[in-house]
Formats: sequence, C-alpha cells, structure tokens
Amino acid sequence: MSHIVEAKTAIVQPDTALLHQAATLVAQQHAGTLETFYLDYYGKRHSAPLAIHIPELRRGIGIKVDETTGELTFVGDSWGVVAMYQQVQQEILQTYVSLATMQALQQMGYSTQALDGEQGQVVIQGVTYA
Amino acid sequence: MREVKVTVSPDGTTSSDFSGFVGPSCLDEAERLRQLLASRYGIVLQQTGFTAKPELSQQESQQQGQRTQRGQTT
Repeated sequence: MSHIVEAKTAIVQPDTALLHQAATLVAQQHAGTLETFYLDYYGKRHSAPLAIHIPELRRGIGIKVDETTGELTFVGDSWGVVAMYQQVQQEILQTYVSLATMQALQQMGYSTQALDGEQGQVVIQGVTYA
Repeated sequence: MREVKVTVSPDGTTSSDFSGFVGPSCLDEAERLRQLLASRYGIVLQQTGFTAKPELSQQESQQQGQRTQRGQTT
C-alpha cells in the first residue's frame, strides 16, 4: 500500500540544538551571523535566546519560544524590509522541518538525502531495504 | 525497497509520499514519523489531504478478487 499525506505545520517546543543548527545554516546562506539580541527601530537592543542578523536585515530577527504556548515565534522590527523579514522566517522554518525530518527518518532506519525541489521546496528522501 | 519522500515547502507545509509498503504498513509508518516529529522536535502536523496511490487500488482489487475466488471455492 502506498499513499500521500499533505499537512500544515506548527512548531511547539522545538529542539533547541536543531533550531540553532537551522538558524546557523540560514545565516550562512545570507553571509550573516547569529547573535543574542535584535534591534528595534531606534537602535535599542532587545535580548533573545537566538537572533539572526544578515546584511539585508540589520536590525536582526529574534527567535524565541513563547513561554505560554511553547510556540516558535519571531520578533523584531520589519519596517522597510517586510519581504526579506518574512523570507528569512520561512527559511528558518523550512530548514528546521527539513533537518528534523531527516533525523527522524534516520532514527527510523532510513538512509536519507536532501534534494532541491521545485519552487523553493526541499525534498527529503528516505529509503530502506529492511 | 521502501521509500518515504517528504517535500517541505517554504511555508513549512509538507507532503509525504510513502511507496513500496505492503498492506496498511505505510499508515503505521506515517503515524510513527508523525509521532516522532511531534515528540522529539515539536513539529505538529495537521493533515490537510490524503491520497491513496494507484498501487493501493490495484492491491485492493486483487484482494477483493482473491476473496471472491476463495468464496467461490468454499
């Protein structure tokens, strides 16, 4: 039997190490850095457990886990850079889900590889002969 | 060979394709993956679609045929 499942994704209580890895990869792709703060419109620093700074987003984006809901959230000032701000958020989310899926499939005994898909998609392929 | 292909879109939505499984074991495998992603990585998947692939229809037809044959011979 074979089937296809489509699903929406929410991230609650993410794995901290894997989130750090995802943010690192995204920062590297944009020649940016990881910090522990982001800046508001007036240049004031706000601390965050993890923040990504890239040349196109000089104020950075803070990456937090909501204390109440446990949801992964992004904080920062997107004024004037809305499109790039949203793109980086999506890249972090996509990278996190991709890395997690690879690790999960490996734990299930699959050999995995990541491939570039269409329209910015990432395809995680797992195979097993067991 | 059993294959799982997960396509992750830029907005984080996923499409998971299970191939080469025997019987309903692909459903068990999908559930196993879903639970592991949730418990270990906090990824909550809300299913928005389910498509049985052609192999499934063929298998079901074959199984129905076998059941019919068994029914005729007994």
